[in-house]
This record gives sequence, C-alpha cells and structure tokens, in this order.
Amino acid sequence: MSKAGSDWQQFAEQGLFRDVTFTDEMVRRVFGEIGRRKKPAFVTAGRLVKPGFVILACLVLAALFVTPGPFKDTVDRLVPATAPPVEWPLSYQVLNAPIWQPGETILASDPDILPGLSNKFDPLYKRMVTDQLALSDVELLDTRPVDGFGTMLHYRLLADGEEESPTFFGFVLGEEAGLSTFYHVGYGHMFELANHEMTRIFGQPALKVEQSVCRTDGESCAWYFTIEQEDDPMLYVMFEAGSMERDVDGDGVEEIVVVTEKLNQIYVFKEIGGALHWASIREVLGADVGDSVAYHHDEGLFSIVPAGTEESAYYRVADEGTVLRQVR
Amino acid sequence: MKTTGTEQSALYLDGADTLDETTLGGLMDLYGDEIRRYVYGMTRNLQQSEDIAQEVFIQAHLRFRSFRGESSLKTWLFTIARNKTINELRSAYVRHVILFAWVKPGQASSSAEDSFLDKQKWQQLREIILALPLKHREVFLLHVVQGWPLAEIADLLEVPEGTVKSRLHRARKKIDERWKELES
Repeated sequence: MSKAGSDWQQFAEQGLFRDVTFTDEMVRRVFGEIGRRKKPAFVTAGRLVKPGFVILACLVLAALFVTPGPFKDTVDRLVPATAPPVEWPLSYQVLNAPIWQPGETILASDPDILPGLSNKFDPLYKRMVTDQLALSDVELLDTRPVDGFGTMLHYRLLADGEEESPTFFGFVLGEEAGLSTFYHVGYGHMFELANHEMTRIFGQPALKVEQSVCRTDGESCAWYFTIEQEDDPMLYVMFEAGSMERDVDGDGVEEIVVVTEKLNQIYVFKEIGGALHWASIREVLGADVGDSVAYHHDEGLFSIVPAGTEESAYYRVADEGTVLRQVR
Repeated sequence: MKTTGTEQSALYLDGADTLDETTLGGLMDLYGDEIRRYVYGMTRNLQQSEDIAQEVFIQAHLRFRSFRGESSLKTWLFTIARNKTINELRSAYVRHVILFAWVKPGQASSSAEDSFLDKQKWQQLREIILALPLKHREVFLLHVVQGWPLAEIADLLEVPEGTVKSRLHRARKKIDERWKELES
C-alpha cells in the first residue's frame, strides 16, 4: 500500500468514530423502555377477572337503575330527569417550544414539546423550500401529480452513481412541465411511503405529505407545504404523529388534530397571531391514567372510555370553541 | 472468538426468555459503542444510530430466547443491528430531515494531543468513508475500523469470504484515490 494509504489506514484504525458512543443516557433509556414494554402483571390478571367483574357490575347496576326499591332515592338524586349536558371548558395556550435553525441536529434525548408528541422543536417551521436541482442531474424514478399543487418527483442523484444510493423527494409547482429545475425537498420515503393530497390548514390550502409508518416507535409523520405569494413553496408545519385537519370549532379556519400513539394524547392546534396554540383533549376531559381517548375524524367527535369500562362518551367542540360538550 | 465474562454469563441463559439486567448492562458496556458506530457508519445519521442501537439491546433483552448460541453473542447483536439498520434504510426513513437539514458527521472530540492537522485529516477521512457505497462502507467499517476478521464479516453478511475481500478491496481503492486527491 502507498504511503498515503498507510497514512489513512492509521487514522482509521485509531478510531474513526470515537466520538460516537453508547452513552449512559442511552443505557438508562434502554432500561426505561424495557420497563415500559413489559406488561404489568395486573393486565394479564385482568383478562381473567374481567368477565366476572362485568357480570357483577351489571347486577349492581340492574339493582340500582331497574329494580325499584331501597336504592330508588339514590338513583333519583344521581340522575335528575332533565340532566344538563356534560361539558368541559376548552381553552388554548401558546406553544412554548424551541425554534429549529437550519443545520441544527435534533437529538432523541431532546425533550418532546408536549407529552407524547415527539416533535423536539416548534412544528411551525414556516421555512421556504430553497434547494433546487436541475432535472439533468437526477435519474427520475417516478412522478405523481397532485391537483392544486404540482407534481411530486421521486429520483436519485446521478452524482451518487450507485444503485443503492438513496432516493429523494421533490416537486415542481403547478403545470410546470418542461421546466429544467425542481424543488429538492427530502428523502425518497416522502414519495415511496407517503400519501400526497391537498387539504386546508389554518385557513389556507396546503399539500399534505403523510407517512403513516414513519418513526421507529410507530408514529406517523405529516408535512404540510403551502405556496406563498411569490409562488414559492414553504414547509409550513410538520408533526411527528398522526395529523388530521378539520374546522372542529366551526370558525371557518381549519385546525390540525394530532393524535399520538405514545401516551394516547390528542392535541388540537390552532395558529393564532403567527404562533401555534394547543389544547390537550386528554386534559380537557380530565382523563386519568388508563382512560382511553380517541378522535373520530368523520364526525369531528372526541371520545373517552374510562379505564375498566367499555362505555364511550362522545364530545363535540361547541359554543364557538369554548367547550367540549357531550353529545352521546 | 474470545468470549468475555459477560458473554459467558449470557450464554448460561441460552434458552431463557430474557437477559437479566446485569448481563444486559454488561453487554451495553461491552458492545454499545461498537454497535452504535457500526449503525452510524451505515446510516450516516447520529440520531438514527442512537435509536437503532438502543433498540438492538431492547430487542436482545426481550427476545433473548431467539438466541440459540449458533453464533457468538456479539454476532447475534450485530445481526439484530444490521437487520434494523437495513430496514430503516429500505424505508428510507430519516426522521429528522427537514428541508435537507443534513445531519453532518459529528465533530471530532478534541483531545489535547491531537494536532489541528490531524483533526482535519481525521475529519476528511471520515467524510470519505461515509461517502462510500453502502456495501463497501459496511465491510470497511467492520474490518478496518472495528477489527472484525473477514470470516466473521462473511458470516454476518451471509456472503462468501471472497465477496467480503472484494468489497474491502474496492473500498480501500476508493479511499486511497480520494485521499491522494486531498493530499495533492
């Protein structure tokens, strides 16, 4: 081997990635995650006792509500004939999260911006897509038109040269067929594994790139791109969890409802005065550990199933977005 | 392959459902750095290397019964790491890529004895290696950086030893070329 060769070999053998280590924090996270993934004993036991418990609960409820008798007065007090609807005050608070700067590394050890929501920085990026590439510099693998936005592109950089080199995602805006350049946006998974559709967020049209299998923890990701006044694309907002758009409070402006697998959280995000504001449906409904909350996008309803029961209570945002009111 | 005390104690558990936490901690001490560096070399992404390396040990703990002792514990852990890494690369998922905010290779850790020139060269070499095609990079990382014998790499990759040699030769050749360009 040449002198130059032995020179680099020496560097390589001395420890090329010596700064990349398995840290104590990672060790702690491994143990923490193992503890979390192991089912607690009572869950297994619950499977055995549940049928008996349900039967017993039915008998007690029958005694209380069906059979007239000694419990009649208690029942009348608990359930007035004209019970007012159950409702909970709903308010939003400004999201207090760090703003990501280009080039900044995002670490898993950074805290989540909200419980269960894996974003580490403010999801409201509002960053122009500035990278452009020449079509002559790429091998185009596939294209997908999205009405109202442009054409999605899947490609490989010719400079990479190898079949195993990564693929990328980009787009051209509008009917710009024949253009020699396009916007270079992200890796190929944003084409291959994602759905692309037009939607509306915060009162404006947006391209939604949704990847249902995205994170290693199973969460989805959703990127929303808008086209700004000068016909320039912008990454407006991005959530690392399942995201749906709906005008939940009927004010004519679409909110983003973010549903996390982790910690079973549901957040409603609004953009007010250029900042994200959020409300936690779990908090609003006073859900306890073990209670399950869900969002029913077709109906725009939220539901809660208290731990140990199978009865759902459904809520809708009402009174100009100030309350969650039970509808059934 | 030399068997460590931690490996030996883990081998007693062959057929058990899980590794006990003491043994798992020992394995993380022993192989954590190597596994994370291997995954980093493959993914070129610090964040992914952290996530995957952690997941390797979580899976090793939870699915220890699938370790049959046919390979060394180290090879088994690297097999898990490799499968997870390849799955990640196939899905091309890079969680934190936002408008090409490339996660750059980490900066060299500063040590008093390193000269500026050495640091610069070290960083350049690192970039050259990370730019190698995946197959060549993987073999290079395992053999030159991690010190694995060719036969073990062949076992891990499930390819003939000749293929490993050929990939290694190509990797060295490319590095040599790029290194000479930088030197000149």
